[in-house]
Amino acid sequence: MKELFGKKVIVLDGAMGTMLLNSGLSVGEKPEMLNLTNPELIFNIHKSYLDSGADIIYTNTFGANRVKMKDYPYKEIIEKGIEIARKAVTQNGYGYVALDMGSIGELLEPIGSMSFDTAYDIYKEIVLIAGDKVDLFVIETMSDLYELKSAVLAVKENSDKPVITTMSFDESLRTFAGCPIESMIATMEGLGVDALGANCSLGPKQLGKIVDVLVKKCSIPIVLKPNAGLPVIRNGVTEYDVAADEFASVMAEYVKQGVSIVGGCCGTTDKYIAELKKNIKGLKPVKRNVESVSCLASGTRYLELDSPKIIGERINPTGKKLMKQAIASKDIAYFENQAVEQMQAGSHILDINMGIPNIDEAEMMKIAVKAVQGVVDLPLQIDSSDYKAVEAGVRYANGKVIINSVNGDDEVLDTILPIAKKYGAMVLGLTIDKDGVPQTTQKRFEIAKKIVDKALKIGIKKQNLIIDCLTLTVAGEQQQATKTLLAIKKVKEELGVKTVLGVSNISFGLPSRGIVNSHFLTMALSFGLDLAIINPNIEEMMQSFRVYNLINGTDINGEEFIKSYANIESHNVIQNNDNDNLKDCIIKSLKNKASDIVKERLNTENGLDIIEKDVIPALDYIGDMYEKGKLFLPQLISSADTAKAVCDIIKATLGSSDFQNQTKVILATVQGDVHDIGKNIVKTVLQNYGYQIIDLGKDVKIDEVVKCVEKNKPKVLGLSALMTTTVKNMQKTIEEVRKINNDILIFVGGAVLNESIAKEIGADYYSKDPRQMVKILQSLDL
Amino acid sequence: MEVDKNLVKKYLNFKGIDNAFDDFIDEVFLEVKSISNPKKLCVLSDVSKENGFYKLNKLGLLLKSEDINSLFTDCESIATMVVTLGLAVDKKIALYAKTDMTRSLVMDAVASVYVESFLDKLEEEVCTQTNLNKTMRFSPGYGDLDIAIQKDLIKAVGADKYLGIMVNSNNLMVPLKSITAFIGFSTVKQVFSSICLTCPQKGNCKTKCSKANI
Repeated sequence: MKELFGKKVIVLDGAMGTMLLNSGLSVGEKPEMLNLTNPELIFNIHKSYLDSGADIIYTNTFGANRVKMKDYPYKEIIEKGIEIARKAVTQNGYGYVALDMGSIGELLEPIGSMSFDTAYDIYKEIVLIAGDKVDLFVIETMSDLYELKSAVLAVKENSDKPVITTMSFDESLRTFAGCPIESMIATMEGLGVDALGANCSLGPKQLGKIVDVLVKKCSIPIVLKPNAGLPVIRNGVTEYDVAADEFASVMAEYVKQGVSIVGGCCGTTDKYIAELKKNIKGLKPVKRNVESVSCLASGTRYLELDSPKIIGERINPTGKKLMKQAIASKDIAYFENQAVEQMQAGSHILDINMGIPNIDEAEMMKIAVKAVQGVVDLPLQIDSSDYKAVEAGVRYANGKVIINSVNGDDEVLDTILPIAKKYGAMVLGLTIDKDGVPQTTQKRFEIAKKIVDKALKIGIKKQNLIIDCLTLTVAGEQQQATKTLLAIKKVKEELGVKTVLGVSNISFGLPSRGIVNSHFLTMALSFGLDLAIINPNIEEMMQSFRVYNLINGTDINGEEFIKSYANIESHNVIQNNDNDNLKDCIIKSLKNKASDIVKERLNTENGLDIIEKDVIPALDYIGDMYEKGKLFLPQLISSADTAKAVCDIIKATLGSSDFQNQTKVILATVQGDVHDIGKNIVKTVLQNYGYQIIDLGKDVKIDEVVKCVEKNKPKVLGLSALMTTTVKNMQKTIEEVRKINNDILIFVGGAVLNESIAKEIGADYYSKDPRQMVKILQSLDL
Repeated sequence: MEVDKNLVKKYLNFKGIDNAFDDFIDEVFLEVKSISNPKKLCVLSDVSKENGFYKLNKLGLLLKSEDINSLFTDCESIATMVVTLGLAVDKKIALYAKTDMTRSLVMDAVASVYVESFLDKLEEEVCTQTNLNKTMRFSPGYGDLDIAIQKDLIKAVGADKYLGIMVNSNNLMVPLKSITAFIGFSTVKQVFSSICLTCPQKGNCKTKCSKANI
């Protein structure tokens, strides 16, 4: 089967649903059930497609998985579906059977609640049922790249059969979940699928731009299975506006451009496939000039390394006390904040390193990767010397990532390179080996060459390699700095790979490190550095970077520079005015001013005193005004945001344990409910009063709440629900929690609740807003 | 398209006059507009009665609701409308909940008003297709129309396939900023009756329809 790809133009079948509707029979809700109830009908449809000239037919199993068909005998449906297709192919004497899989039907984390591992298991179950009885696997009509990745891994790890994947894009050239075509190409090629492309959603004419990108960027066979035009509902039936001959002639044009696997989706029938077969007669797969670019991707962002990029280094415990604490205590919120802060500061890629002693680094890497990609859409760099942590990182990352790092040591290369190959990651190679850091440019180059050669040998492409020529401290080894710079130039010119440096090591042991670092960065960029690992929160570094790109011409028209430095004033909810009083600044939501004042005052005052004297009184004041109807929710929250910024600065000087009072509060939006804005505003306000918040998020399963209560033994549990229909889940959650902890105080809130419903479902308190909850908590003297 | 600031403030229960806040709403609205990928779908269907309820013949959808029966008097056809802003708006609101709660809160309200304005526009477009009298707009979850209908509705009009809307096990739509609604067309002039009197949200409602004098 695999040999067929790229050798001939392969024809797939057309729609199953349309043929079923045309059969005039009542299909019912689940067309897959027909495998059991009317196998003859399905057989005939397969037969028609084979008769029309299809090389590959898709089994009638698109929705047959344990979620979408939980009340149906989905295993039997899959088995029977394969059997029917096989029978049709056997009778035809030619053809291949593709096991068809679609989306699971429930959203994956971070938007939904299904885990990557669960999705993987669901697909794996299907792959194992199919076993050797099919010729290939097809995953189609996908929208979420993460779900697609889980499906591809399920196939590749449990079968030797080829796999082809297609996603559905709209006119914005993205899927509904926001995945750009380029992210799909980068990620799927990396995972080693056999062919990829687009299906459904649009007609052939609207797919022109999508084909352009595929032809230019995709180096493996391209699949196209469009609808028969755009849908029009006529007399209750969805029809499509492109006829068979027109469909086929547009598709033939795409074949001439470089598409080599063609078929039809919604609205197409055996007639369309027959026309298609006729139109592509004599056409061979076209040889394409595919760009070999270095690129990275996340689920919703594609990044080409065509100009220098910044890798944010903050999610790494080396020399960072608070990050060490956060890793040890699995403080996900801390990772999230670091990720968002670095993205806002201008990072293009985020490094993640969880290396502290005595933890399960692989497990922690998985947690951190999920946390970070839950809040930002930057591509990631998985940074570890533990190969298990590396594999966990690349597995759970959505998109195409960098592995940091390998070096010239054979043992390391033999362990890490196969992981990079399997997941399609870029690899960062340090020019160091068992003998330590080389002292000459030449020796650095030789190690780089060894890494490159070895990687190429196992099938990693050159554009996926990055070499680090190592920054040494100029205070210790002054002559080495120029050798590093010269090595960058030599590696780039002679090996044709990308280069990277951890910049700030240059100034270790010197005063005014910022000056040294930022100038060294400019110099390294001039020597051709592609990726700089830095702290993007240090303004001098970003200035050097932006100025370099402005002058070098990589920041076209200086857009990035102007955007960063044109000093656009942001609006505050309440107008700025001059004020040096911290309390007033919080009340008036002057975040920058408040931050400046608190930094100044921390030189002479204790942080906790500042909180007591200014922050809490400010919050109480604004709370009172809110109660009296003189200020409103946006202002209350805006002040709370400002207070949070102040508290964060104080916290950094104290360590979080000194800062928080000992009252733990668990917050969750109950199972089934995805409206969490109320819960979030409660969190923002409670945090300022020092409550230790454990935020479980939204759509939180009942047993997850129970487990968290059991583990953390909080005094208070706060539950929110917006819908009448989810209040019953709130009640169930309360009942289950009470079984293991009868003393816990349960607060509930949300639009459909009131005092009496709260009592009815077993809560202790109803609070209509965050202010009320604070007042009740304070009155309880916990 | 402008955003109705008064409606945004109503959702936020913001009663003051504050120019800076108005500017802030404008700023957030620009951001919402730039990240939205609005999509709409409408199916106008003739109707029949089955077990005393309206059935949308084109979609095979039964509207099991006495409230619809009383509000959609003698309808000849009913339009099913679906609009969404897309997933990027949900993601942005969630991101701001971590970094800037004020913006998250205001964006949530602005996005709600924005998606409703698309529905208003879609309703206008549908109404130009017929000279019949229109009823009030009615969404799943109003009165006695169970939101359990969302799953069948979304599937029947193809909003899953063409708009990317998913319905979770508790019948909530994702993207969150999505709306489904029905509007009926009748030869009889419609009298808006007292649906709000029987609504569980009576007295507690901040929605747009509460500004109508029902």
